[in-house]
Amino acid sequence: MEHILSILIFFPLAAALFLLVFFRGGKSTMWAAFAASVVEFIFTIPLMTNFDKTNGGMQFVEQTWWIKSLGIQYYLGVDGITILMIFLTTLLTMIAILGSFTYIQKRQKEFYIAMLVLETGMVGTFLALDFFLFYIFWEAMLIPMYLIIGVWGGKRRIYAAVKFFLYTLAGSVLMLLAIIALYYVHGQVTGEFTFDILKITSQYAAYSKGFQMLIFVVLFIGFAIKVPMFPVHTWLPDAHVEAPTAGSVILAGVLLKMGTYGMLRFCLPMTPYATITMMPYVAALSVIAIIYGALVAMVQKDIKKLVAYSSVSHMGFVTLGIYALNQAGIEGGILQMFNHGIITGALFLLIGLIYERTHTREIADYGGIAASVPLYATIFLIFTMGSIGLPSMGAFIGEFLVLVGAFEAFSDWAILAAIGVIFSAVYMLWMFQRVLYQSLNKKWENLADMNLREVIYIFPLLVIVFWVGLYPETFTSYIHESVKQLVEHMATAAVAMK
Amino acid sequence: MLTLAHYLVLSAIIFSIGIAGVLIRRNLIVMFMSLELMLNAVNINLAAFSNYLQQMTGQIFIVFVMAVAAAEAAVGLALIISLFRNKQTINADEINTMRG
Amino acid sequence: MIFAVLTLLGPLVAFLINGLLGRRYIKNAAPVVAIAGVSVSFVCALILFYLVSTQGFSVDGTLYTWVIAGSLQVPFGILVDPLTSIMLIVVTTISLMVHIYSIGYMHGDKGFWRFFTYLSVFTLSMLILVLGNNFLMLFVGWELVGLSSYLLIGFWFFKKSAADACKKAFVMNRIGDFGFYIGLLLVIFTFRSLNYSDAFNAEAIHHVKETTYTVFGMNFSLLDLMTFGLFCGAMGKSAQFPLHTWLPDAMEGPTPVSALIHAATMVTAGVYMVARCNALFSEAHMTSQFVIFAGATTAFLGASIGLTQYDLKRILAYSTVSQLGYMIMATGVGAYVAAIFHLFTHAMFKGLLFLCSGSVMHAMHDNLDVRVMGGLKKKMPITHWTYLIGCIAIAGIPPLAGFWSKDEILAMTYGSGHTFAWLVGTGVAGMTAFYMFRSYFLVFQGTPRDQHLHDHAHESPIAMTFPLVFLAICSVLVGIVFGYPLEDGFIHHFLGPVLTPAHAHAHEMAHSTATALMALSIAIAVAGISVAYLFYVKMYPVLPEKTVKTFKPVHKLLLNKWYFDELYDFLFVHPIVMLSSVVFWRAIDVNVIDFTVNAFGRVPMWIGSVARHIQTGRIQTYIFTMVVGVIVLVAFFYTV
Repeated sequence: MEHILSILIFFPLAAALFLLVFFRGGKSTMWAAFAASVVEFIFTIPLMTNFDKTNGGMQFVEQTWWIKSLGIQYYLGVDGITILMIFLTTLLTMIAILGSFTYIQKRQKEFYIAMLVLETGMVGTFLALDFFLFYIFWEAMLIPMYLIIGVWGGKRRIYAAVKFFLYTLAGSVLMLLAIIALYYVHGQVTGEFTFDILKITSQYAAYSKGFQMLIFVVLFIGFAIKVPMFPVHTWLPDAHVEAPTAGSVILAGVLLKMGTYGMLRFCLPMTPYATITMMPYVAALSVIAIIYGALVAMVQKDIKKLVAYSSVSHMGFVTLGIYALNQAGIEGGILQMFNHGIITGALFLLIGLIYERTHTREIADYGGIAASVPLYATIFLIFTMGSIGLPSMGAFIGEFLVLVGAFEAFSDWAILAAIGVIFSAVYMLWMFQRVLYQSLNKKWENLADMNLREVIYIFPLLVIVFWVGLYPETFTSYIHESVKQLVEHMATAAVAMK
Repeated sequence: MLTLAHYLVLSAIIFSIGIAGVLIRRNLIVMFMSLELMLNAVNINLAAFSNYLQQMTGQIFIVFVMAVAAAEAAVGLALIISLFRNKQTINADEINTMRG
Repeated sequence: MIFAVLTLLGPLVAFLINGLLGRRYIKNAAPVVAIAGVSVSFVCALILFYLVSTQGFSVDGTLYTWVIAGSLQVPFGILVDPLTSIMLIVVTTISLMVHIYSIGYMHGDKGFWRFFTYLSVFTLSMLILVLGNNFLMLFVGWELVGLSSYLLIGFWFFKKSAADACKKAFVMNRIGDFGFYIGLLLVIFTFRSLNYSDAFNAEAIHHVKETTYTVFGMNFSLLDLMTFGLFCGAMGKSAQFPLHTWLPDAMEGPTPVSALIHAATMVTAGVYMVARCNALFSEAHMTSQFVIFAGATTAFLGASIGLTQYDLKRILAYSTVSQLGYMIMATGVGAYVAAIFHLFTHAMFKGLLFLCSGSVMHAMHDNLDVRVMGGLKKKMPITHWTYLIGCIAIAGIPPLAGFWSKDEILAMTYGSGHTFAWLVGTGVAGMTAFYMFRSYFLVFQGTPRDQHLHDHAHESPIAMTFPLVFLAICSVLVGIVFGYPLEDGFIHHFLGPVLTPAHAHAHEMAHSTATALMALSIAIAVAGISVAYLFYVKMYPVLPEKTVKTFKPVHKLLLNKWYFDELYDFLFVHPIVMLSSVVFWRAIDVNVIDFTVNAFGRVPMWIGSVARHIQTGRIQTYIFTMVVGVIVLVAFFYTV
């Protein structure tokens, strides 16, 4: 258990190197990549079971100097906020790899290498406790994703990939500026120049209000691009539509969570004054994202684009919950991050597997296929309902917690956000109706239903959706303490602010 | 008696020939040879100063330059050969795929 | 407790077995599993009812802690009290009957097993709804019945009308649920708990009675706001004006579904909710006024549309809308017992009527137009008699079930001083009697209007007629057994303790007034029936045609359901779609944001397109430039 976090980060990278050297593509590469991702997932199990739920601080910490003269460390740790994200990452990567077996037809070896490198980047981003290290992983994540969209994507893949890259790069450049500023200011205040995230956080009281506001805005924009929040969301529909299934799954499932994770880890605790001042504005932006995303999703003609816009809407709930700054809201936000990863990931997988058969994503090209693919229709319906937020499934719990928290903090915005509940039903069901119900389009009479592999990779997601919905405590018990600490931290800051 | 100046002038002349060769000639092989010429002009310079200053550093450096030149020759010639295989030419003017 | 859990487990297990194994292995044996499941619930419900009624047994327990939101803990808990046990009886009885009926009705359908799976889901959800001990459980059941309703309305999903209807039902319900959600949040805000026991605490309510709450800068009474939110949910689910338009469309589903979900159980969930929250509603005076308004309006709208419809199931659907209006109106005036009583009797006779219509449909090859039927009484004696019983029951002729509950609602409304609402209610009673008997006369009496269809008509199999007979017996008996003597029957003593006794608010009525009201409502019902007889037996088809001609605009308005669908399309659907598509997507997303983003890309592209000419691709150019550069630099540094 000593170096479990390092193993978690570097195992996929090692596996990717192994693949690079010893494999030549084809079936064996797929299975090797899948095996690697399964092993990686298995590594997270002892992490979950040995995690001390009563401790809100960092656990399994690994700390050693990397570049001592600049105060850069190799510093890893996991707390309640990240552990669910790690679980989500390794789970979804595993499923996405299994889901790509037939979808990816060219340059297979390179694809799986990119996926594994991506996994290293994602896990590293969640675990890094040193700003410098964090930034490296953050950027390292970008490259494989860029390649996945740009090489294995659809027709307009280059445009989408470049757009994705530039948008996110703009965000990360802003973030870099903020990091350097924090590094210097922290150094000036304490005399110790370090990139240590926890140390920089603990000195928040020493930063002037103006500086906090500046840092908050810069960091917030950086993370908001990743979430994505209105109005910097337009890369998402393009990236999702063009990305291959696995890319969409990871993009929606994990990469979007980087933004909200960044807000939780940096914006909130490091610049609490600014956060408290800006709270209502962020809530307003979140509500706009919720309603705007839902309305635009409603009129989309491409299924993937619809789900992409629905992500904007759902992630609006996450930010709304986080900026409510109370236990229920933040827990709901984190849980909703998790749920959104599972449900939207599943929806993209389902869209991907039908796309493999029909080669179209236009809603109008479908119709009535529930008659030819009953199993698919059932599973699709379950995740549609999950996305709508039907009780007994995960998203409901998340939304409920978010709304409870938000209602306490800013009731009017919470009421407006609840309108999203109506629209989510409208766009999902309308899409569902046009794709799966109504009279059967003659073209799809002999459509093949889901095969065993497809059922296998959807199944864990199905279980988790209901698990979270029926007994969320399994998952929320991990986050209680960490969130409690964060809320207390914010409360102390609020008192100090007055 | 040969003074330092003689060596330097010789080196300068050879270097200029090298530059002129690289700039004027269109044949990649010739350009490549001119490049070697320039390197050797530098070597002469180094040797001359080494002798003049009575320090070994310059001569040691020559060995490095020669090693680099050899490596460069190997890589460069390999590149030229594969270029020729692809393009059926070693005329520098015709190899302009990088034109903006 | 164990019985309550077993009640839930029956349909749950049936659902799991059928859902997982149905398609491959169980197939046509699916009803056996489903009926076994619902029978367990039925037996448990009877046991619970027995325990509650004889021993005052009650349960308010927690199975496990479900959601923890900060300091708020919401249990997955179960509550059994008189109200629950009555609801359990209603749900499981009708559900069992519909299960049996469906064996005959759905026989030979491709999705036979699927149908029974959905029925199990529905039964389970409805049981969760009534068994929960907190608002969140209620909401869960609420949404899950919505889901089952969606699935069952859209059972024949390949029909566009069915697919449209199921979506419409779900979305309309969601609009109501939005209010419900806000109500929930306000309950949490007020009581810091979602448990019924905390929220319906008289002391706590007294404490917040005068509190106001600010929403969007406007001040409202907290209780009014909360109950109004909750009532929005009830309006959606119980199809109250203005969210009533989904219910008639829901008739696209198979008829047993219409009987179970859209007549007897699910649509009455709103009434159950208001009755359950009587402690809150009776203190919220503004909301109560609105509830009465909504109920009376719905009752009238439903009945008026019902007068003109030709589709047998739609006639019944509008009558359901209208009857739900009665129940809601009753809750508004504080007559909770009467409302639940009417819910109970209505479940029996409306379930019966729908199942009869299914039987007729079966005989008529899925034709539902009453204009092509006629004279079916000889061909289908059982259906005929049971339908007649249902009609008499709903018309309010003593001693059948409808009379007792409907008369009580009207009396209570009158007694509470809402004379206008009472007037509407009485008028609607007459209309109900008229259009129900109109359908009866058109379908069963007279001469066949389509000889071909008539020749092929036949009585339904025993699986279908048994539930008819059973429910007919119930329709005859439940009123008198539970409701006699008026306002002092078994049901009043039974439900009184949990539902605030209505006469606590209503003015005590003189005995003579009560008798007069009773006589009046019987007279109205008889008048309605007589007019129907006159129109559709004696003078058919001359008089109806003449009436239609005389009142052409009115008839057209009613035939087109007051143009509510068209109005909503015009007011909401089209503007929102246009706004999203044209303004939000095309204008803002594509033309503003993306244009800006692309502009960021285009500027460097333009610079590059100019600067590219420097790159000649000739190595000599580069070397030359470099040499010149070196010379310039050297010259520069050596001269300075």
